Amino acid sequence: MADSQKKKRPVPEAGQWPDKLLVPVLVAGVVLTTVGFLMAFLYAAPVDGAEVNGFQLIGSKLVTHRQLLSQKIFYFHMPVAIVSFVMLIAAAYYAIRFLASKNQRYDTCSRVAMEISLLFVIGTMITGDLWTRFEWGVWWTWDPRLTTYLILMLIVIAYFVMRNSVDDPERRATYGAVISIIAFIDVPICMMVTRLIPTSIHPVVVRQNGMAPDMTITVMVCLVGMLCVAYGLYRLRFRTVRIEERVEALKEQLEEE
Amino acid sequence: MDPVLQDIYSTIIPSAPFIIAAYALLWAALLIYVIISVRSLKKSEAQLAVLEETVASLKAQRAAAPTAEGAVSAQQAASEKAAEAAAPKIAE
Repeated sequence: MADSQKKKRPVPEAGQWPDKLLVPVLVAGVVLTTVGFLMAFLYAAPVDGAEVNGFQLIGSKLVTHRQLLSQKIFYFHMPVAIVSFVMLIAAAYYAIRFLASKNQRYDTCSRVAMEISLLFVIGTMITGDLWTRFEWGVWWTWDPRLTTYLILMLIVIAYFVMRNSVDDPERRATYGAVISIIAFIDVPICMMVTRLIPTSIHPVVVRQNGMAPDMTITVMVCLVGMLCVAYGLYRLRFRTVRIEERVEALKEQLEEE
Repeated sequence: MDPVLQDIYSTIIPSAPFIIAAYALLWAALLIYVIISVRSLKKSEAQLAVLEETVASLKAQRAAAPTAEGAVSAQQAASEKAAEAAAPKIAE
């Protein structure tokens, strides 16, 4: 019975039409993020910090506050965090499709999306922590946003720990799908926690008077660039994983013959 | 330097290492991931090419073999060839 099922297992296809987009999308992502990086330092105006004892005319602007260079981290920090959420949403979407259809392809999609999400979660943690260290003087604080995001990161890490510890592919994929959905549930909590808990000290840009147009444009360029990079990486990794699966299936076929 | 101007720019230099580190580490993480993925892709593509070639030659030999005995011996020979061809690549 098991042998007949094994023989019926199709060889996974590798190389679909979206793979043709891989290089252009990755190049677009690199170009846009580079432009965004330059805009952050050359186009977007510095943000005001604490008030100084006096004023100074710089260019045509009367400056009465300290100018914060550390805020420049925000132009990559926020887009990277948003992309990590987008990839978690994609992972949950494919997880649900896998649970509904038991099609192994969706498990691969979900797994790759989780992998890219972990990469961007780590990026968010790196940029956020360095900003925290400079602005708040500590490497870590149990702020609600930071805590919920840490939980999110631990769930994503747990997903990969689980995948490496379960041998049966069917069970591994099912458990993985469930963990993907749990991680997805943490996304809106993480997004809304600074609004729900007033004691949170994490800055909320949209609530606090919004952003100036130059800041908005810069963030949007960085965000679109990061989305392109994430999609390019997703396609690259998906192609690799599918080829690996195809190699395994072909090896099994050869062994059977 | 004017003390007010000095105060205005007082956080610029101290914060610079953190900003440089944030951008550099983020790009390094992405770059390392791309390098690992591309290397893995190249390796898998090479393995796939060897295996597909072997499977194709196996099928061709089987189709050309006139008797069942001939098919079995051709199949065995192709399997041995496939094992030899794929083993070093897979072991990498």
